[in-house]
This record gives sequence, structure tokens and C-alpha cells, in this order.
Amino acid sequence: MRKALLLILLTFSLPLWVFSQSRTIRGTVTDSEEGLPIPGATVLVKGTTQGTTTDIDGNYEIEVLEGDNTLVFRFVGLRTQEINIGNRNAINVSLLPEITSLEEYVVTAYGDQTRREVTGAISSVKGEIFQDLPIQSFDRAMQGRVAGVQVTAGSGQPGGTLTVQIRGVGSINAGTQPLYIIDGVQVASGGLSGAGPQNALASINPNDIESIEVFKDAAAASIYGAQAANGVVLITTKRGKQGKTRVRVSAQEGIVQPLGFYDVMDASQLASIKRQAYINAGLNPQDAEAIFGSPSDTDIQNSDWVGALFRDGRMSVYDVSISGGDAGTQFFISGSHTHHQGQIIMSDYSRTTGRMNLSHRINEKFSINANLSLSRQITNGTIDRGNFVNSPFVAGYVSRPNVPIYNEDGTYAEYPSEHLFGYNIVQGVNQELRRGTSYQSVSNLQMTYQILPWLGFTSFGGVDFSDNRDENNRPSTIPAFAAYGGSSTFSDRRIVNSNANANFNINKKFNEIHSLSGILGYEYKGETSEANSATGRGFPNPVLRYLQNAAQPFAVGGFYTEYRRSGFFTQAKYDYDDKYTFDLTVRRDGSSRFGTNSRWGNFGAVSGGWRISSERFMENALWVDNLRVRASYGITGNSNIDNFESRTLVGSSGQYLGRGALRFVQLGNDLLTWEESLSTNLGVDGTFFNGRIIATVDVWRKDSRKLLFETQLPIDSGFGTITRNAGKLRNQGIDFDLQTTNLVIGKFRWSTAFNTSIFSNELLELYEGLDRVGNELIVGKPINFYYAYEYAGVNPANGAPMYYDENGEYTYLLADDDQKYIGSTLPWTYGGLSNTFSYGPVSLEVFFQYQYGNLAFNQDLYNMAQAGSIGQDNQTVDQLYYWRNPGDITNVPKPYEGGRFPGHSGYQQFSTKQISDGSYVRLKQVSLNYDLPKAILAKARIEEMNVFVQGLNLWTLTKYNGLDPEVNSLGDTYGTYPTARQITAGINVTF
Amino acid sequence: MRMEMKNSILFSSLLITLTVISCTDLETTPRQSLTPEVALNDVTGYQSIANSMYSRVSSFDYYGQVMMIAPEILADNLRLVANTGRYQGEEANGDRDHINLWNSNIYGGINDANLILQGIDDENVSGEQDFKDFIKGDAYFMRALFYFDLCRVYGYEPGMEVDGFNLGPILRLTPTLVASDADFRTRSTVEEVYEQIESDLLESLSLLQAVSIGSEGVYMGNAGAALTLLSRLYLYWGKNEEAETAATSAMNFLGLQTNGDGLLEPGQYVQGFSRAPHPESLFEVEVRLVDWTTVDGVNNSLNSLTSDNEPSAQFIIGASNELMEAYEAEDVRRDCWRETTREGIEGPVYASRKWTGYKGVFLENIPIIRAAELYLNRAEARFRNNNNQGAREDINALRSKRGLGPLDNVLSGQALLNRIMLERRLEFALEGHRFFDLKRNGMDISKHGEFLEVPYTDYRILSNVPLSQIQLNENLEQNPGY
Repeated sequence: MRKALLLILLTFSLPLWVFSQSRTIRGTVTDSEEGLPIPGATVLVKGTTQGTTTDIDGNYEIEVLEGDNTLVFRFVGLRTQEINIGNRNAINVSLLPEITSLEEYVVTAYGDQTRREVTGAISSVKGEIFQDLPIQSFDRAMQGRVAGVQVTAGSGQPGGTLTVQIRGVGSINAGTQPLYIIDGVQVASGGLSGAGPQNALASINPNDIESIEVFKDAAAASIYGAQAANGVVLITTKRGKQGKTRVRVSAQEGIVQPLGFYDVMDASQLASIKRQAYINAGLNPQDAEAIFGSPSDTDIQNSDWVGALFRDGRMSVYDVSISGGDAGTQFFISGSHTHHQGQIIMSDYSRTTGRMNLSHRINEKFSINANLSLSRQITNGTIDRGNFVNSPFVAGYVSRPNVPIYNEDGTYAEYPSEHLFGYNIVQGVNQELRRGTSYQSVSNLQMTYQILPWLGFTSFGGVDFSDNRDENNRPSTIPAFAAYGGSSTFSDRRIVNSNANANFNINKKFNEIHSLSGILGYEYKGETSEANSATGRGFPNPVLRYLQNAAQPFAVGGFYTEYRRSGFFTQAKYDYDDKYTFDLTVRRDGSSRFGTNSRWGNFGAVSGGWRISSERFMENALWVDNLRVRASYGITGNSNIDNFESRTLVGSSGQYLGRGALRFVQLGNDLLTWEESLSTNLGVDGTFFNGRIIATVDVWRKDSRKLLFETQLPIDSGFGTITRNAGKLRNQGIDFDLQTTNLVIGKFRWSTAFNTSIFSNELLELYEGLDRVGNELIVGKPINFYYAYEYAGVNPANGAPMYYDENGEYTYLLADDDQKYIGSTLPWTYGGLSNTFSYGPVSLEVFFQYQYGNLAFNQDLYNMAQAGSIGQDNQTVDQLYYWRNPGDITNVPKPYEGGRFPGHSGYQQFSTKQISDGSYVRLKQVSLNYDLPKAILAKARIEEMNVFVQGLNLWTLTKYNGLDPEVNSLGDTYGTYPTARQITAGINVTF
Repeated sequence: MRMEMKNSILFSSLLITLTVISCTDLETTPRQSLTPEVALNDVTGYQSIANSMYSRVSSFDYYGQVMMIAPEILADNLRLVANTGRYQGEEANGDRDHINLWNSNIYGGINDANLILQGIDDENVSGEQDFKDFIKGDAYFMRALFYFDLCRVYGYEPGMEVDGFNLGPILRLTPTLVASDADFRTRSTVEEVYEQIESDLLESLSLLQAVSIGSEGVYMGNAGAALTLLSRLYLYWGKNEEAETAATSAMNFLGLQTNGDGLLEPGQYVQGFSRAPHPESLFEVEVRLVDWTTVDGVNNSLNSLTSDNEPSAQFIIGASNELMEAYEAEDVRRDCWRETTREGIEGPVYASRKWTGYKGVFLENIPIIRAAELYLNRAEARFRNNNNQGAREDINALRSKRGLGPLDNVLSGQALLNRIMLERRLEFALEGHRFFDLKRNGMDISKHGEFLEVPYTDYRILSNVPLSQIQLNENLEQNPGY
């Protein structure tokens, strides 16, 4: 449109120049990939309005005046090129494909703007990057792709939740997850189900996503003031485009495999180490043989518990979308179905989604947008995380190999009651039902009225609704549940989360060089969630599992909770000649979560940008396409705490003699208010060598203060904590993003995308002058670290485990003060590296993701690596290298039944023995894609068709002492569900 | 047509806007909790607080499990018969493997009691004074019990200090209502806390009702229970005359005869542990299935841990061989153990018939104070008061109800004390007395099997205060040796 206007203007002004002294330059414009002429390309004399377009054969002819020295060539989808004229009369140009991301539109808060204008730190991931990847949720797509965003899977359960941290960890007790906004709807992230991790964000089919924008600093995020302290992730789904109706169908099938297993002992190995443990402890080795069998018995029962629980799963993804429209109405309709088996038997995930995005322009002034989505997710979960005997990740490894899994008739064998509560894990996993089913809709309606050409009004309403049912059936066929005839628990949860806003927006340009835009609006958000659950026991037959069949109602439960938030916001942006940009945002928010007189908080940001490359002195630096510096400072808020955390609550606490009991469950704090995050960002964007190098560097600091801190109370007060605004925390770092086109040789092309973040996290201040809170928080240290005993190996003289005491001397008996600071759980750097090689229609992407510098804790070792000394747990094979004779140098102590040498601390100590380097580099993705030749496809009336093969999590380099350094970098690490390797092949057709 | 459309759109966007603007209300109400003003404006609110106090007693970190098992396995009455990792440290008296009561359950209970005692008499609290007094009596009684248990886990009994270390728990007598109430305090001496316990029990006596032994009244505080606890307190305190007096007055109004009448007959003894309430109970907490999660029964109940009458029970703890050998052949209390076998254990093992899960699926009430204690308390007090004759009479009275004949009537001195200690050991096996009885008498902790005796002067006699509390509160002193 703008080009057309320009041409009309040119036509009118042309006669004026006829009389000037001029010469004519001719040439042809071609496309660099196939060498074909480009008709309709724009050719302009730089710094003037003089220009022309190429004809059908790509030829042009243009008059230039003396003194004009540069021609600009432009065509949609190709890179604009500037050519020095010199003395030439013929200039042929071959235009490269568009590779710069700077011209792309990024979706920003409450309106679109081109990336050129953005003064905040925003990163985006385009939908095509993760299109057809076998991931279940879009948060996975950000992993390793965005500088400054650390994405960690909490579980390998298909469809599971992830932890996303933007620019460090900004709070100690309040939430640290970013605010997710899907098409304007502020959605609740986290888990939906109790049956297994089920990601609320997985209700959106990743293939429906046009782009993901991540707002990292205050300038970008502060328009969302409330909740923006942890950054904002904005998701925009695809919309129909005017033109021919396109139908896209894709399908893929593949397999899911465990990444690896612990190597556990067989029956005779376990029998031999246990026998030794009994002998060393002065016990009768016959007693050990009665339980574990004899190490010399060649016919000893040898069960493969792990083999009976793990499998190669199958997965399939089917996806169809139809999009198109005319000038007035555009639509995008899609549907998808995914089925994904886990690496554990009975663990699977399936999802069905439907979406309809409609845009309709009623007249010049009115337009309306509606996005409707509905999804169903079904997770058949398994116990994940925690030292539970019914978790396959715990019991699968520690179950005794000399106990049979099955009886001779194929029924499940009874497991000895003195170990693992007599629970046969294979039977348990097969027969216990743990299913979560969720229906969710994230939908919205938006209307825009253009009051004046420069003034618009938008009103928006959105809802994120989810309804979940969890079923847990423990049939009486499992001996542990037989005593009461089996049990069934049904839990139903409903979350209604709605937000609405109305805003006026202006956009005006004065004298061609002054642009002013702004927004003024109001927003409201409310969320209610409620749940009911009931358990029944005593089922007459294990097949029956609904509550009407229960002989005995056992327990009921439920909750209702809500919060509300509202805010006013305004933003003004001024741009001078595309050189200087200034941006001011102010927001005032109130939240029901805080004390009655301290509910409202003020947030805001200022930012500016300077495009150096548009300055006159840069004119001769032709290798610089674009160079811009940005700076921002602002304050955002965090209110991510429990809904009633500021109130003193008297809650029910069970019963006595059938009468309800009440107790003070929480001490209130009426002064509780917003946690604040002050962030500063300095950034540089640059594009060089005709777009061959695109780089972004951001240096940032984020200081969180007035933390919503669960400050400790002495337990003798009857309370453990009270939430107060206290403490200070600093995160700072550098985000670096580089995209290069390394080689273009004929049809061959190699490009690289690399991003990395270096950051540090430091607790600056606690409360009341404290410099530490127990061993959990220490001023001057990061907020997440390990504080443990330092293991000093095994004394070669006697086989006893030794530790370093507080003075660095060897000790057997640990005192409180011997624990020390070991190191941080946060990596100091993380990022990703992607290389794409293409040759004509074939392309290969190889993508690595990494993190470096964090320690990881593996609790599995408590059970499996204690020299066969405690209980009956099976051990890892490396425990066979235990101390035998004086002089033996080993890390595994002398087996000693009970694990307690008299006068020594017990074997199971939280020490550096379980802590290892959690750094890793992972070959996250390899995709091989082949586009079928268009000439062949045209005959079948197919527009595009490609086939692909891809693998996820193919290889990992790490020194971590457990199964998966990614999943185990968080929280409780007993029996975590590790990530899986996935290999799929698929096809994608567009009509 | 076009205009109409336009109007309807205008109308709708106006509607959305209005909806938005009308929703500025930030008022929310926690519908599943109450504010203190609402909860405590009448006496039934305080009754609910008292219910909370009682419901804490059966928690697994208190009398629901630990306070019954740990004091036995820390000494010589119990042994592990299956190695699951639980109580392994306690059996070996390992470093820091002791009882932890310094937690929010006990101190929360103390706060419940303080809340009642401070607030219930306020004139704005509606309700009958009689009802208020009854609840106050409960609060005094329970506060005494909580502090008594804290003292015996964390401190030496007065007069029995090792190296003069005389500290007990932190004493709080007013409720924590706002954060500033939760100040950092120092530990009081055991002596000071005992004085408070004495005063609380005396207060409770004036408020509580007398109920008969083994009646449903024992589910709450009552005069008999308060007097028995008082006699126990005096015994721990070395105030033997007072101990005797308290025991005697309790026995008098409870109708416990000097010949033992009032206790169960020998033939009823074992069955008594499967009755609700226990026929000899003076204080017992009632437990219902709803107090437990679905797996608590099998994971944590006394019945599951110590018995195998349910096939899915854990049965990890049985009587020590030394305990079994201590029973005389006719002693009916021996029948509280059933001989059985356990994989990996040579010879017979003994499963409990005291904790039988008689209410179904591992569930049962928990008797905390039984009438037999009065005879034992008085016998010991009389012995200390040089009344050997009286001491023997009390022991004989108890023995007659346990199927045993009288003691040698010249038994005196250390031999008599040992006999009294042995009767206590046998009577209260698996009821959480043994370790404390040895400790309060300054005796070394005798052990079973190969385990090493713990000398009375060893630091492991006292439990350790949780490290996190020591680090939080500079005024809080750790026990010696930790």
C-alpha cells in the first residue's frame, strides 16, 4: 500500500526532474536463489523520492542526478539492498532472501509494533521454528531458543509441566514463573491434575502458534505491571490471511525411549554385599541369606523389575488446519490429536484440540476478532518425585531381584512385607489407576473501533477455563489395599480465570518525522478455583470403582478460593525520524491478596532507543545495515502468593469426638503489599553485512525488593512463618543472541543461531539485620544452594566413611557446624546453538541446548548407594567396589548392616556424596526435512509438501551422577521421571 | 443493514466496557477459613480450639506413634524385626536419633491452650460460665501435658542434672496473635517449667470434672487424669511425698482399692487393649478414620508397625528377647505378645497385642494415662519415702491383677526399687515409659541384643533442639554435645 502510494507520488513528480542534469542507469533485478528475474521490484535513488519498478523481465531504467550515489532495491520477502552507483550505467542486482528478523512484527502489549521500534528487551520465537516438533506445550519450544530464558522440564511425563525462569530467580517465596498471555488472555500456568503433572499451557496446540514473545525487562513488561516482575510470555495464535483457502495437514509417528537406567545389582551381587554387611556388623550371615538368598546359589531367582516397568513407547501427532478469507473476514480453523506413551508402562498422554480464530471487518472503522479454543488432555500418570514405594522410579530400582514378580501361573507374586511395604511395584503400576482428564478453553473476543484515523478504542474480554477430574483407584487385588477392600478417590477441580480490558489508543505522525503513539486503558482480572473430592472404600469387586459401589464413604475434601486484580495503565511512545525513540509506561494495580490499605502499587518504566545507523556519520559504513542502542529502567510487581496470605486465618483442622476443630493456621499481616522488581537494561541491536550477521546484546540488572518473604518465626510461638515484605535480591547478567548466515554457495546454505546468558543471583539483604536464615538463605550467596556435609571418602585403614569437619579435619561423627556451603543450584550460563544446513529442498537442523555451572543433588543415591547397609534396597552395581581390606582406596564404605558404626554418624548423610556437577550439553533436536519439488506437486494440485524425520534429546554430555540432569536440577530428586528420547517421522501437506 | 450492525457492535463493545469497569471490587472472602473475630465470639469457637488441642495428641510425631515407640526402642523393650530404615537410629541410640517434639504440633497445642486461657473469659465471648470453665480446665491440663513431655525429652529432671545443665523448653503462657508476640526467648529451667506445670494441673483440678475410670469422660481432661499426671510430675521432680499424696487422692476418688480392685481382672487384661475406651484409661484420645489419609494406617499406625494381624501390616518392631525373658510365666501381660516368625530373623519374634487396630484397618484409640500407673507411682514414691511396706503393698495389688502372687515381703533397698522398675517396664511395655523411667532415676539406659548401653552422663540422653531453631534464635541454647 505504501509502495503504491509512493509510486503514484513519483509519477507526479517525475516531470520536474526532466530538466535536471541526469543520466540513465539500467539493469536487471534477479533473485539470488534461483536466478530468476523479479518483476515489480522497487528501485529508488537513496535520499530522494525518485524511483521506479522493474518490468516483467526484472529490467529497470532509472534517471539519476549528479550527486546521487546510491540505489536502493526492494522487494517483498527479499532483503533490501543498497548499491553504490559510481560511474556505472548498468547495475544488475541479485536480491538475497530476507533473513533479518528486525523487520518482523513483534506482538507487544496491547498492540503490534515492528521490531525496529521496540525499546524494551524482547525476544521472540516464531511458530515455524517449532512447527511439527513433537512437543506438547509451547513453553518447551522456548528451551534454548531465547537468551535469558531458562526452561527446565520438571518431569519426563508426556504433557508435564515446566519451570520457566526469565532472567534469574526474582523471588524467594513468591512465584517466579512469568505471566503467560495467550491472545490477550492472562492464563494460569502450572499443573492441572493431581494424577500426574499436566501442563495447563499444553491446552494450546503448538502448531496453532504464530509466535511467542518474551518480555524480559521492565520497559517491555511494565504495561502488565502487576505480575510482570518475572517477565511476560505473550503467545499469538495464527490468523487467517486474505486469499485462497489453504488446508494444511500433517501427521507423524514415532517412538519414545528412556535415556538410560541405573545399573542395579542382580540377585547374587546383592546377596553377596548383604552377606558381607551382616558379617561386618557381627550378625549371623545366615539371616542375610534367608532374605537375599545365597551368593553361591547358581539357581537364584533373578527378576528384572526395571525391564518389567520401562518400555519403548509410541507416539503420534495428527494436525489439520484450514485458513483463508476475503477482505472482510479471515479465519483459521484447526484440530489436532496427539497420543504419547511414556517410557513407563501405563503412563501416557493424549490431547485433542480444536480452534477457531475469526477476524471480521464490518466497515472501515469496526473490526472484531474472536479466538475460540477447546482442548481435552488425558494423562495416565505415575508417581513422580518422592521416595514412595509405589513410584516405579524408586521401587523399580530398589526392589529385590531375588523376589519373583509373577507366580508360575502368571499372577502377581506377593512381595515380602518387610520391604517396600510389601508392594509389588509391577502389579501396583499395572493395576492402580491414576488418571487426570482436563477440559480447557482459552478464548477471547475483541472489538476495535477506529474513532478517528489516529484514535482507536478496543475492548477485550477473555477467559481461561479449566475443568479437571482426577481418578485414583487402588483395587483390592493389590495386597496393600486389600485390608479395606480397595479405594477410589475422585477429585473435581474448576478454575475460572477471566480478564477484560478497555483502552484508547492513538497513533499519529506529524511532519513526516514525528510519530506519537499511546495507549490509555483499564484492566480487570479475577480467578476463582474450587475443588471437591471424595474417597470411598470397600468395593465388592476390584472391577467396580465408582463411588456408588463403595461400602464405606471414607473421606471428603474440597476448597474454594479466589482473587481479583485491577489496574490502570498508560503508555506513550515518541519516535523521531526512526532515529530516536522514547517510551514511557505507567501502571497502577490493586490486588485482593494484600492488606486492605496496601493493595495498590505503582509501576512503570522509561526507555529510549537511538538508531546510530541512521545518522549521517554512519552513511559510509556500508557493512552496517542497522545499529541501535537501547536503554530502559522500570519497576514491575509480583503478587504471586496464596490468595489470603495477608489475613489471619482460623481454619479447620480435623475433628475430635466428631466435632470440628479450629486452629489459627496463619498469622496475618495487614501491611503486606507488592513485591517490586527494579530492572535496568542496556541493549544493542545490530545487523551487518546485508543481514548476514544479526546480533543482540542486552546487559541487565534486576533488583527485587520488598520481597514477599515467608520470614521465620520461632516454632515455639506455634507458627513457623509469617509473610512480610522484606529482603532484597539481585539478579544481573548479559543476554547474547547471534544469528549468522555463514555460507551461501549456490544452493547450499549454512546458518547458525546462538544464544547464551550469563547471570548471577545474590541475596543482598534479609530482615531485621539477619545475615542468614538457618542453612537455607545466606546474604551474599545465591538464593538456591546446597549446604551439606563434605564427604571425604572412605578411610583406607578401616573402611569407615569420613567427612571434613568445620576445620577441614577428618571426622567420623558429624556435628551441626560441620555443614558447609557447597555451591549454587543455579547455572551461571545457559543457552542454545542451532545450525541449519540446507541444500535446495533438503534441510537439516542440529540444535544443542546447554547449561553450565550448577550443582545437582541426587537423592536416589540415598537408597541405592549405601554399600548395601540399610534396609533391603537393591544397590547400584558400583557399590560392589566396597572397602574390603586395609589399604583399599575406594569411595564405597565397608558394608555394615544398619549403616551405623558405633560412635560414627550413620551412612545416610546429606553430603557432597549425593551432589555432583549438574552442567550438561544436550543434543536437543535434529530435524531433517525434504521439500518435494513444486513442479511435481502442482500436478497433484498440492501447494507444498515436505517429509521429515526428527529426534529429540538424542545425546547428553554431563558429569551428573543421576539419570537426567535436566529434570533433576529441581527440588526433591527422589524418583524423578526422566526426560525421554523421541524419534519421529512425518509428512506435511498444504493444499 | 450496515447501520444496524454498527449499532450492535457499538452496543456490545459498550457492554464489555461496562462489565469491565463495574468489576473494580477487590473484596474477597476466604470462604473456607474464618477471621479470629468471627471464630472466637462465642464459647463454641473455643470448644473448637480445644478440639484442635486434643486432635494433636494422636499425631504420629506424638502419641500416635513416636511417643509410644521411641522411648521403648531407645531403651531395651523393643527391637526391629524388619529393616526398613525406620527406628534403626533410635534402636542404636545414634547421634541425633532421638525424639523430636520441638515442633509446630506441640507448640501449636500450647498456643491453642494459651489462646483459650487468655480469651475465653472475655465478656464479649458469649456462653455459659460452666462451659467456659470446663474448656479452661482442658486447656490447663493439656498445656501441662505438652510441657511435661517437652521437659522430659529436652531436659534433665531437677536434681538429676549432668554438669549442671538445667534448661528445659521455652515457656510461653500467652498466645501468639500477631507477629510481634513471636519474640525470641531463652529456654526456661526445667524447675521453672515444672512449677508452671504444677500450677496448671492444680488449676485444672479446680475446673475439671471427675469421671470414672474407663468411661467416655476420659476422652477429655478430667480430675483423675490431672491428679495422676501430677503424681507423675512429682515423682520426676523428686517430690516423693507430694507424689504419694497425689496418687492416693486420685485412687481414693477413682475407687481404686489398696488390693488392686478397680483395675482389670487378670483374665480381662489383654482384651482391655481392644476396648474403647480402655477400661483402665484415665486419659485417652479418640481417633477416627477421617483423621488419617488413605495410607496413614498402613504407613504410620502403631498397629501396622508393631503387629501382623493385618496381612498388609509392616510389622517392623517386636518385643526384645530381654523383655520376653523378664516376664514371669503366669504374668498375663506376657500375653500382650504373640510369638511368630519373621523372614531374616532367627528364632521367634513377638508381635504386639496391645496395639491391635480393633476399630478396623489399623485404627484404634490411644490410651495415654492408665490407672495402673497410680499404683506404680505410689509404690515408687513410698519406696523413696522409706515406706517399703507400702511400696510392696502397691506392687502386690497390681500384681494380683496381672495373675501374679505377692513379692517376697522382705524385699527392700535397691532390690525393691529394681522390682518396682521392672513392674513398670512390664506394665507399660510399648506405651512409651521405659526410657524416661530409667532417665529420671539417673540410670544408664540398658539395651537389648548387641546394642551398647548408654551411660546416663552421655549426651544422647537428651534430644537435640532442631538446628534451624538454634540458627534462628540466638537466645536459644542447644543441648550439650550437639
